[in-house]
Amino acid sequence: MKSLKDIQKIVSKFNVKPRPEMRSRILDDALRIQRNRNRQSTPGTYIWRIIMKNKISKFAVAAIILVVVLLISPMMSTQSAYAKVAEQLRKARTLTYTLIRQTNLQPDQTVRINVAHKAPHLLRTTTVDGYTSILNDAKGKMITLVPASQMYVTAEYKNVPELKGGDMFEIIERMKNLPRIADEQLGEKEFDNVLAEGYRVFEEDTTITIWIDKDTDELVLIKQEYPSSPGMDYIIRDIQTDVSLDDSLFSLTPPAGYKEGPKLSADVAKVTEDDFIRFFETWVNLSVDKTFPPTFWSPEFGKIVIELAKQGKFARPWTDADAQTIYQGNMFLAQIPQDDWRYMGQNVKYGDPNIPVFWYRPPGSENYRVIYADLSVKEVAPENLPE
Amino acid sequence: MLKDKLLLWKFKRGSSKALEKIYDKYETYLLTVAMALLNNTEAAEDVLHDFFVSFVKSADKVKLSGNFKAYLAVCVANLARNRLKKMQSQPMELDDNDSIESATYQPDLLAIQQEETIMLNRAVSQLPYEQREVIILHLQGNMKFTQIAELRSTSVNTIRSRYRYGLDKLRSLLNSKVTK
Repeated sequence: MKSLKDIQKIVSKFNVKPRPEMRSRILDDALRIQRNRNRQSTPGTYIWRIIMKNKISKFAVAAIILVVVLLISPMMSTQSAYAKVAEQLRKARTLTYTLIRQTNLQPDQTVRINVAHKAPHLLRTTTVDGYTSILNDAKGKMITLVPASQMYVTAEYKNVPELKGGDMFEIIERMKNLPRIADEQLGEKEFDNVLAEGYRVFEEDTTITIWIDKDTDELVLIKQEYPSSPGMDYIIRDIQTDVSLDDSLFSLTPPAGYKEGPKLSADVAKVTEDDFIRFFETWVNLSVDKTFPPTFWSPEFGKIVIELAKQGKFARPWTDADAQTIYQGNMFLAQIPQDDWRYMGQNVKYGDPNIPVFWYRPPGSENYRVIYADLSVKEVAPENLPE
Repeated sequence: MLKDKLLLWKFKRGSSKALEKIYDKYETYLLTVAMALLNNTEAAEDVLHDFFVSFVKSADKVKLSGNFKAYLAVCVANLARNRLKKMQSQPMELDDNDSIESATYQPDLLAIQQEETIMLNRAVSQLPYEQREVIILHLQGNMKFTQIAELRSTSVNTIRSRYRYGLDKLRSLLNSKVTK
């Protein structure tokens, strides 16, 4: 005879063994729905694109260009083999991380930049060689220190429209959500005594890999690769938030003993399409074979410019005036939302009035402006945009 | 408990690994609950399927205030109840062709264990649904009577009564089978 206690025990231990095929039937459906759901709800994770939607980020590109300009001239005269490029980025509460850009070129072309953000306007980037860019978005000023030549370059900008986009905090958060849309699970791996779980996502022309601390779910490492540009890898690691960052780190005053270099400036409200065309014109005139740049406004820009300089593809060293023109041209682009322009002039030779090299949609306009290889411009309706 | 919360947190952020872990951890348990309530393999599996689908679809809305296991049991119990309403025209007696055995395809399962499971399931199926539900939610889902009362919008005393009567009847059914 079973007592009530026995019955309770039996019921609580009652166990129905599932059929093996049930798991695949139910779980496969659930996983498929989850995957679809994730894809629909997770915004793009294309780091560079996200960064570029942010106003302050755009000036980081200008900073890259600035540093590249600084690097080109000595390279042109000495052909010394070195490389670096400063980069990135924007605002935050406080956020620090190390940004590593690997290239498929020489080992010394792996660029390692320490980045510090202080909310909401301060940004400091430092390369291992001490190239430092400090940007104060509230003041619209930027200074770049070049220790090799004990020189500093200043750049000013004003009237830049605030663009809606993600800051680095947002990017970090989005990266944390990557497991949602992971195409591959990479298992576990240890990073500096931290056990992390890896996930990989293939997105458009990008492969993103993240490693998340298994215990805390904090990001340990983000790696972004461009299959179409092998070796151009971006790695973000040593991510720390809410660290104490002294304001002196973001001082725009150059160190004692540094001599003044080019002074660049741009009033974005006054920057026009003509400035942008002059940017192309300057590039074409600088290039030995009179071609348009293979790329610009992209992570590869710095690398490519340095490579072109090394290969002797520029007819002469870049001057301060060139730097100003390049800077001004990029300020024009800073006004145009990322999705409203496209460049297709990669290595196109200057002169053909029928070959489009660039199109963009001016803010508030329904039509597009198309720039051709002879630097003429036509307005076209959306349906007539060149492929 | 902490592991469940972490698992749920990861699941809510879309982790497929977390979903798989939740499934593997609770598959047997949820099937048992569904089976005990519905006494029909196909219906129990369908309930489980419906549960996981809606669980994924409404991941953002999942809010855990207490025990995850109990939460899952309640979800499955609710779906089972709805399922039962749809099946009301059909008899819920155990069909030998669709018995618990058909859900027990583990060849290495001990015969005694299987027999006991079949007997128990058969006995549970003879309880009124309300009693069956309370017994399963309390003993399998580890839910308190107050929680079940709140869930079913009824008094704790009613729940206690259902439990007591149900358990008595179950004892009587099982003992009668043993003595036969």
